[in-house]
Amino acid sequence: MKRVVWMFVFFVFVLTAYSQAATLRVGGVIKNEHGSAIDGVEVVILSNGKVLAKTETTRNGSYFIEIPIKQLKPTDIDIEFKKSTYETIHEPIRNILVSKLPNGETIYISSVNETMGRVTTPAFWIALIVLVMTFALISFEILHRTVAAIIGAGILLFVSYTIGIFNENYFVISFDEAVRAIDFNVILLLMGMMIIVGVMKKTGVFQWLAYKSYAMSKGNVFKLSIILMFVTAIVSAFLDNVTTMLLIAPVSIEIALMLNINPMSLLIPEVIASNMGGTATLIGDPPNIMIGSFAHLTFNQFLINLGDVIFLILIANVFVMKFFFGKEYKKGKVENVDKLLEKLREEYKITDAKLLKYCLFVLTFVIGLFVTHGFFHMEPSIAALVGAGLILILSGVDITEMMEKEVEWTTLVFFMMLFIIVEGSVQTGVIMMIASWVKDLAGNSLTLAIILIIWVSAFASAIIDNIPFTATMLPVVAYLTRTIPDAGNTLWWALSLGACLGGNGTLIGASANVVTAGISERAGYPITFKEFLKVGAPATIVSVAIGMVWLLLGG
Amino acid sequence: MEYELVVVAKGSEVGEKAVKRALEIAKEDNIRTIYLLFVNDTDFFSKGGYVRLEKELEAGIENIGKVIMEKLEDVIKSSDNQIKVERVELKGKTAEEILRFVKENVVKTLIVPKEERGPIERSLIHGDIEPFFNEIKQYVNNFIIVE
Repeated sequence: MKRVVWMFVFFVFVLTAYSQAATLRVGGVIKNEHGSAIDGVEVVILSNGKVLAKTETTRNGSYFIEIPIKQLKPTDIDIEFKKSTYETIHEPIRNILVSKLPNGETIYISSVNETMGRVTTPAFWIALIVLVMTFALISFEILHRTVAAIIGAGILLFVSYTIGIFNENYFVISFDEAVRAIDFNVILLLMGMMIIVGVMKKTGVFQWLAYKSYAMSKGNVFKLSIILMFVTAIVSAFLDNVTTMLLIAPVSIEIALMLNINPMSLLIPEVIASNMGGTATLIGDPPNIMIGSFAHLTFNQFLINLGDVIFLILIANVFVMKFFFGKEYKKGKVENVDKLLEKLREEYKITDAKLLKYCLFVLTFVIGLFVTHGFFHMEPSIAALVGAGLILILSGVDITEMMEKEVEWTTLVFFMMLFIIVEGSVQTGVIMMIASWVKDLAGNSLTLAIILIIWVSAFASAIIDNIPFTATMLPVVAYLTRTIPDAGNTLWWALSLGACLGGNGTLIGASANVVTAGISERAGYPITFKEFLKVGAPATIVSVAIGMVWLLLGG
Repeated sequence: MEYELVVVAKGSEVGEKAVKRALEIAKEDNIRTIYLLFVNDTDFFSKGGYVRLEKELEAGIENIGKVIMEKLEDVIKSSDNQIKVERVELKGKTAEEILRFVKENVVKTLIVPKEERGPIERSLIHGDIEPFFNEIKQYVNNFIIVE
């Protein structure tokens, strides 16, 4: 009997407890003033200052918390959103919906969406100083660009995990955020293309193309210059500009010396065409690779939107070059064209025809994948990696040699570190500040935004390295694209045209310019900063103006 | 080895002027051999990005060197067919290689063509011999700069 009574008491207790059980479910999305989701926001549920539950927002800024709230009034419960460099929000949970489950359990549901305002903390200044310092170190070549970027990223993480641990106002970026910031699509695409070019250059095809250009021109120097410009532009559209110029420039100098003309009259048009050709495709220039990956733009979108305008720009620049070097072209003479052709044929022949066939097959396949990658929802880096794998198998080259000598690890590490530095600026609000400035200037006018982005990018790229510049501008242009009505992808094209074509403005504007000047100097024809500027600046102004008008007319 | 008359080979007009100066000296001092010195210098572009192409770059500059020396040889031969022209090709940093060359050999006259270069291209492209002029002078009897 006693046992039955105890069982009854226990049953009543469980039933009562069960009938009183309640659950609070709170969820929502946290955004910044630009409407971008904020990840890593600490969300805390409190009751009379006592922490009941904690979570963090995900990458899309969302959070969800479910807690039992027996013996608590849901209206007594507060919620707090906290993240360094943002103003903390602490408020009671309002607009609670009450519902009963079939088993009698009460459910309190609320949705709390908030916009967190920025605060300027020491972390903001640290990120800004590191960004400016890295730009300066790279642009003035005080340090190797990879060393400068490693130091910059290292400082951000070191400060975050030392002072930032004791005072969150100094916390710039977490390790997770830093790793997530690295765009591996960019890194793997660059690596894949380096391997493909590394094998392809062994065939001597690039130098052979320069020789063929001379053969086609039949000794006419102006014609030769035009052919070389177009050949360089087409090669640069698929390979990096530095490689293209390093392989074609020596042949051009040799031809110029034999024609008794200043090699500069062939080299400057070539390098200008090289920077232009790189602008036409997703894989032609690092800024385009970064833009394509960030904005999810396909190879075809680049080609369709930029290919035609680059063709027009190239044509216009043929006349610009004729204006500057016309007299030099007329001076060109060679006593025995056939002898010169024979000499060039001997020096610059295809060294491995079988390997070239394999390379052309793989390159065609990779370009085919680039053209269709949008359809397959495949990142372009996958196409490059497949191509690299194929070419390694077909060519049978030593993988260790390829990895050691052909893959530029310093460049890849530079990109990785740069992504971390820019993310530090994103996390602390530096980039948001820049974006707000640009938005205030442009207002809601797409025309103004195009003009602003294309010219500022061109001017900046003529002076500083266009890779860190583009990396910084990506989130800025993304914000403008989101907020300016009917922007579509136009502002991305403006950034691409400005950042890539701006490199033609000065000798230091693009790596390919410096390489070309270096080779020319070794032949006894130094290209001075002033000489390059005299041709490069007008060429850039003409090119960017055409690009701007093209975009304003709807591209 | 002993070299009576060495000219640093450059393809430009200043390079030709240097060779013509060498011809004058050869006539005055009755020197029968002019040595053309070319340095295959790939030390430029510190930003990184050409290391993997160093072999190709070296081959390209070697070809340029050949053409320059052929051109300068033509200038010498068209002026005095009796003068013998010998080629000296070095690999490495221009100034350091020239300095090593004059240290390791006996060079009586060295003619260096000097091109006009600004501070920006100097810092970027390197290959500057000027800072080494005083040191080179110590090892050469007659050091001539042609501008």
